Amino acid sequence: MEQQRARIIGIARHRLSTDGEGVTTLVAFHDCPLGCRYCLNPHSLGDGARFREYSPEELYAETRIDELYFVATNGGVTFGGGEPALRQQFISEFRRLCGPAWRLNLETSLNVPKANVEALLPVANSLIIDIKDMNPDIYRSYTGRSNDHVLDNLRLIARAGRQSDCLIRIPLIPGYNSDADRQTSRRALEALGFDRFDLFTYQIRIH
Amino acid sequence: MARGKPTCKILKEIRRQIAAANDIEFITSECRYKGDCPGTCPKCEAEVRYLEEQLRARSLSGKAVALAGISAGMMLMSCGNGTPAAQPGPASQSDTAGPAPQSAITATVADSVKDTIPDNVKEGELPPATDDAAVKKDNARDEAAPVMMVGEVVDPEQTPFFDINSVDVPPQFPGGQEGLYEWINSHMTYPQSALDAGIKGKVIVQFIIRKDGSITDAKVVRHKSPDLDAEALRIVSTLPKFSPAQVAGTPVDCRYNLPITFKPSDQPTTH
Repeated sequence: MEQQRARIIGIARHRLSTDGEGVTTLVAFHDCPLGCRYCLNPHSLGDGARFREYSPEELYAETRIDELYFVATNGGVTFGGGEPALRQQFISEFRRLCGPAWRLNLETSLNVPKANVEALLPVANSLIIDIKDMNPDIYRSYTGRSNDHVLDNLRLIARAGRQSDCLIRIPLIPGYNSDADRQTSRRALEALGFDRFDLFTYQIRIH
Repeated sequence: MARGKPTCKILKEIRRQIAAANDIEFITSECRYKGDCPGTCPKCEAEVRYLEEQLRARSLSGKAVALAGISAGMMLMSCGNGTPAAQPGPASQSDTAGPAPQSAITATVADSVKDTIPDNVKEGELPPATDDAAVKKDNARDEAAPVMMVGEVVDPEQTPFFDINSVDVPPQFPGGQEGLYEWINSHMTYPQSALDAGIKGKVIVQFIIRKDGSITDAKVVRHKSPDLDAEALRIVSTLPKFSPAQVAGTPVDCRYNLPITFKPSDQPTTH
């Protein structure tokens, strides 16, 4: 298999139910297709040369230190970013290395080609999906991109019957959407069979 | 209170549960470390390695090892921790699956780790700083820092302020730009040495206008001469509070560049 390497902007251990069930280690990839104004990790954008490049083997070796906690708490590794769904081969290889006992979670926007998500569904236990807003105009205004991929991938997940593995985050985005917009988004998602939602308000970070 | 201490306590309880479920003698003590704590330390890590060693020994001797999911309930019961989660909203139905049934698995945990708890490691002792810029822990932020959100990681090189072009409402000097010019002109003393040497021109001072309107981190980013630079900085040090910049109605820290032009024949001005 071709050696996969990826730049990683941060590895945070012992995230207790912050990014998924149990004790998790958050691994944040560099690079994202979106340009969200209130991006929590703006260093995931632009030049990533200052960040270390990892192979799946190197990342596994580094995260394995917490395997005991992962297995005991049904935890594992949450891949975020940036956009982790751009790294389907890397994550698939990581799954091969860590085996089935670790939970692998994706914290994703789903704004990637459908083939990426098709490749990731078999290796990910759960997906934390930040859908921004289901309204295409609001989405484009906030992210600078279309949400066509997002909608395609939500339908793909629904067809695969994986809705219960997804936590859909529906943010209130100051200056971009309203609570009524969020309810509209929620209804559209419920129509696709999703039923786990996290309604929250974006925090404005200094950067 | 170090923000990692709650994390430390939860992880320690998980270790206790693992030991109890596998009849492993596990003697630990209350951490007495008073400094900042990332939730783990060499003493804690050594306890993990000890448990791994004991579990491996059990497995090699043919005994069952209970590990998978035995502490899953810990996360559901714990409330505070060092890396608080974004709390689900009122409509959240994000409850995850309950604790997995206990099962016996073959211990494959860190087979290569053979350390035992070293005597020379003190509780709370922090590991040496890594030179790996990608590895950051939540305690990299100070106590006043906001809680971590889902998926958020700390950038050590993060510039802790907004650029003036990216805010909704720019910072405002009392009396506006005119008031700022008047303040500078009325508070400036043209250095005699610069006058004598015929030095004139523009000095640009950069500073942060904090969310409370105060000015910090002033520095000269365009130099002219030591005397003019010093005078420009002195003037900035006299400025009263601004009204802070805002993003989406929230005051934010904002970087501001103030050009100050020195003209020997005139009063110094800004533009």
